Amino acid sequence: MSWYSQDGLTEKEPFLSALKHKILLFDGAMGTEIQRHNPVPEDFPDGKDGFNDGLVVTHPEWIAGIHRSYLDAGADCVETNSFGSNKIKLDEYGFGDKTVRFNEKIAALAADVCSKQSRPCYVIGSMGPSGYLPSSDDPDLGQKSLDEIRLAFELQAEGLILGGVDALLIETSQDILEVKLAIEACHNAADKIAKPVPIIANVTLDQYGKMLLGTNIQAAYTTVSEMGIDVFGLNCSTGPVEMTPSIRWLDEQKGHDLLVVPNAGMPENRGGHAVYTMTPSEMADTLGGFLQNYDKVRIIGGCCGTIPDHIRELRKVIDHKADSQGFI
Amino acid sequence: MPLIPRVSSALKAVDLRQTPPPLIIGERLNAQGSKRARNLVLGGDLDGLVNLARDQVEDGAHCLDVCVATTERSDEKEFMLKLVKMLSLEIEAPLVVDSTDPVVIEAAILQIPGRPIINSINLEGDGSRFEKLAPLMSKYGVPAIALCIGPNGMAKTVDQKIDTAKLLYETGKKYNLQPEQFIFDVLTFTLATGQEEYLDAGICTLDGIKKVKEHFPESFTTLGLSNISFGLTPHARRVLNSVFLYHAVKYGLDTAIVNSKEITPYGDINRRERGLAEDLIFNTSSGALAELIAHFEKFGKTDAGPAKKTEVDPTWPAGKRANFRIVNRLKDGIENDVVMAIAEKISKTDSVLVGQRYSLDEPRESTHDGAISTLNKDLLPAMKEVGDKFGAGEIILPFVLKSAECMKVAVAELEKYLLKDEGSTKGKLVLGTVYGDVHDIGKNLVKTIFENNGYTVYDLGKQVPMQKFLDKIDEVDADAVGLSALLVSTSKQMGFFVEHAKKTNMVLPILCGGAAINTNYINRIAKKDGIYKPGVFYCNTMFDGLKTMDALVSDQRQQLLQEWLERLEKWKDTTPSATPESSLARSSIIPVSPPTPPQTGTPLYLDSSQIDLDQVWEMIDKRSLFKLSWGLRGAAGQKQEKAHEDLFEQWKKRINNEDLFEPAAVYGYFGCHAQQNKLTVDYSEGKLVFDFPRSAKPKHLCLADYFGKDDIVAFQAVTVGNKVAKTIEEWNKDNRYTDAYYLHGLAVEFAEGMAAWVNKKIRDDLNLDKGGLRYSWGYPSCPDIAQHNLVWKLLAPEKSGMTLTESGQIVPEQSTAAIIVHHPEAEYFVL
Repeated sequence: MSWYSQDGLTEKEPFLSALKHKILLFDGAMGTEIQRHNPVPEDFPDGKDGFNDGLVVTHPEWIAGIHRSYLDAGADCVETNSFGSNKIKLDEYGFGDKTVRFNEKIAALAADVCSKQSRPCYVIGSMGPSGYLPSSDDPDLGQKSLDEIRLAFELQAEGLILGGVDALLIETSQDILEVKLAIEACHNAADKIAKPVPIIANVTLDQYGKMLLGTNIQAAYTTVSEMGIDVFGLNCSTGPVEMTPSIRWLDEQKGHDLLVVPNAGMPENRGGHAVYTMTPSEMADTLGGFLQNYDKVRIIGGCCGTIPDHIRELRKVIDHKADSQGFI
Repeated sequence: MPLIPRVSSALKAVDLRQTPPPLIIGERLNAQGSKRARNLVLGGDLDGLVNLARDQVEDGAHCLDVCVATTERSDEKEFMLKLVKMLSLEIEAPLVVDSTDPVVIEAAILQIPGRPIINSINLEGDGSRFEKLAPLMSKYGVPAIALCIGPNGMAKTVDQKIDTAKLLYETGKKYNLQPEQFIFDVLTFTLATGQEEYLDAGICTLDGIKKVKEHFPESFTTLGLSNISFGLTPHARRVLNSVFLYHAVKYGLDTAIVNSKEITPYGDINRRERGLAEDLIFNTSSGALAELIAHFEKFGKTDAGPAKKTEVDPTWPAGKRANFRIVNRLKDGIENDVVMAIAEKISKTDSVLVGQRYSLDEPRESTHDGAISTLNKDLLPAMKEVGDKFGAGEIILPFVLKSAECMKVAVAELEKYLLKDEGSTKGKLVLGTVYGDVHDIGKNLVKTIFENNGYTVYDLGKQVPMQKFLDKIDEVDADAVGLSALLVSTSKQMGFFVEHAKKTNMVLPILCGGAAINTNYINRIAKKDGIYKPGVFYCNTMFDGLKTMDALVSDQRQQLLQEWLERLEKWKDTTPSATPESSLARSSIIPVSPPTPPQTGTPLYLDSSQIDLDQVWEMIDKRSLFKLSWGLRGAAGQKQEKAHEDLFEQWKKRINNEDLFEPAAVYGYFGCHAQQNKLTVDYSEGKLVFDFPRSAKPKHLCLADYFGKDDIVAFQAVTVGNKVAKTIEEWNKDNRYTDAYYLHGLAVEFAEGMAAWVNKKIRDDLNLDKGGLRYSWGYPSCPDIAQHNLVWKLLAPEKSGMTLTESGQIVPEQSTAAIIVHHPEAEYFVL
């Protein structure tokens, strides 16, 4: 069976139903791929160096190329280049009042790339943190109003849905209260546009299994599990090995489908730069082990330090598992 | 399959189904149910409330009920939000949000970085409360305590209870509520009325629990346990509550809202009392209530615990007697017990010369070992027990000091039988309050406890410069140094000390304590630019300090340091550095026309003859005195309230008789001009500018906003005088710790009373009906105590005996200064 969408004749199988019968592969890191273009300040909107999400305006062909390279490597899903495009973050670059349009454009770019593939590919709307820690009492980071944070995500989610994402992904979350707000924001946006969209909520754990403010996996999952999310997961911060105890616990709950998108190993500090040393085959071994041992793990992919080579190896692991089980 | 039902805090998740049951919901953080919580809420004492939360978790609570509603405060929602935020950062137990106002509940659920429980839903009246809260339960997936109250009122019979539970559940279906989200409270009524209608109330509740569990096996049940005994004496309540809980759990109870400290295990209750309670609960004999009341009458109304014997039994070994005296604060006769204890240890009781004061007629060579053994086996364990009891909230601080006085006397006696020059000290601590800080109450407590636990303490006093610490450490070859600081600003000195210690490769462990610091603060300075390996320890109480010191001078030292080092290496600084205050908009406060002061520009001085001391005594905030300054904590504190009233009267007499207070005050009115955050004040030598910070909270308040372009402002400063500080110092030297502690607390509160009195005088002078609020530096609305320097230029309080330290603190400590704002809308705010 195949799913063509570009001719409009066959409807693409929805994300959640695809997830029911196959493991889905996410893409790898975006930032390092952008660096391959050796961007200079003039490459960014208004010369704002480092404003990666802004490249959708100035260099959409770079971003489209990166999406394609991951799809070519075998990814089923690409994350939109919108990690830092909630309103609070965009305000820092002066684009905050265009949050909806901006995200719509980013999502549409990825959707366009996916629609040209000869197999069903999914656009995942990436939503990174606001940069604030609403549950802390920090004199600066802990004082942002909850309404403002939620609205920042709501506008982003609205744009991403309008741009055609197949799911929303709340990722790299440091503060579980922010996850609560972001989930609410996703629901509000979907209600507003009257277009239901799957929600994936991720948290980021350190090597001891805790979020930045001390929340363990049990507390994090309990807090958001009944808030109308479709997939729960872990991404960033550590390699796959460090995630094992948390993944095991989550799998034991037999609750939500799980996403595991680790870095290519624990970052090592070399001369002030974070370096990731896990090779594609090492990473594939570990994540392959997860697929083998934990039924609930349905999505894998790569975060910091991963490149198309990692994704290619992960593709092999998934296909091998599917072959050995006799269905696709 | 549904997930295992859990609730969570920001730190951990808790299964609603506990093995063994029940899940304990701590009931004390409830301004409606606990006097203590209410007072803390009224006083805005968030730290006190967090401590109350921590105490309950230590006593075994799995979750904590939080209710801050009072008739006096109109800011329930804001206060609730502040409190749950603070609790979430520190307390592991998930919260049970308790309010009659659905708006407060919604705001709290949103603010809590976890999954709380709602307390509570019901179907009373038109069911509007249910309609407001059920959507929240659905949206956040939170469970709620569902009271069996239907449109016709409270469910009393078993049938009514199960019918109401069914109605609650059915109504919830509209909102897609799941069975695990219901924690049914089938209601408990007091058995203390003897009314016909309620004779079977206990049985009905138990059967109701059973029925509900049969019908809704996936749902939960709970009880507000203490309702069952409402109206009985404390001791009777404790027994009845405990016995009822035991049976309720057998009938299927999953959770209970209780004060876990007041639950006695069923097996520990004597058979007779158990039987009395069971007769009442199961209504098996018509005279059950009367019998129960009669039985417990003899325990009186005050003591909730079983009556304790506090008499020394002369048949005990002398060592045990001495130990008992210290624990129970019975100083008289302790010397003789010590002498006998030593004699018993060396089997020389025949050598004891008996008289009013015993003595042991033996050379020190033969008594030495017995004395050491008495110290280690009898006296020191007593102080340890006192420390443990204090830590558990069983006794109040003044009792600890009383015990320390007993210990001091015992040790003085003991020393007569020790060989001189033999290092009987457990270790040497150099101690002081850091430079710039004049507060020494905490430091004095540490000294007292350390000395009475066998350490030699070199107390350098307060405002101690670093070099003085370093010299003393070298001179006495100290085993550790203790640094104390009350203020945030002066706590920095600890950082400087550690930095210096690192640079000069010192090997001395550093113990730090004080109100403004915490583990994170100390970890940060310990780890900055590489870890200070010999150890920097945060000591939350004097007993924490003692525990650390005990380990440092024992063979556990290596282990302690190793564990500390591992913890510190793993520890990560989660407090990102602050960024500069952004420019905030002015508040919407409109200045009013200025009042007319009797005169401006020159300060007015009042001596004790011009201050109405009777009125000041009246103005003392006794609640604050007892709770904050005299440290009445926990159940132990509540029990002592009456005793403290008496004590207050005694001290008042004594202070007046001995003229311990030398009150003086100064105040003045000045022309002033506000522009943005700045208030320019005219005085004889020119102009002074107060730059006040602006609040980041929605109102954006700033003190300057209350003043117009040409306005009037008043300042005041009051002191209890220098004699008090000297007296406290002398008393501490004479080992009169308890007296010194009480006097210190009273002096602090008396200064506050004087401030209120002068404040009122100013209000009268200015003819103010409303307004005239007083703001002291160091409090949230105007935190910068360096501004005292400006006030000192205006008022010259030196003439009344008040001076400033470099950092702007007032000497003597029992003084306070304030700015008075005449604006009628002025309010206290935080930044």
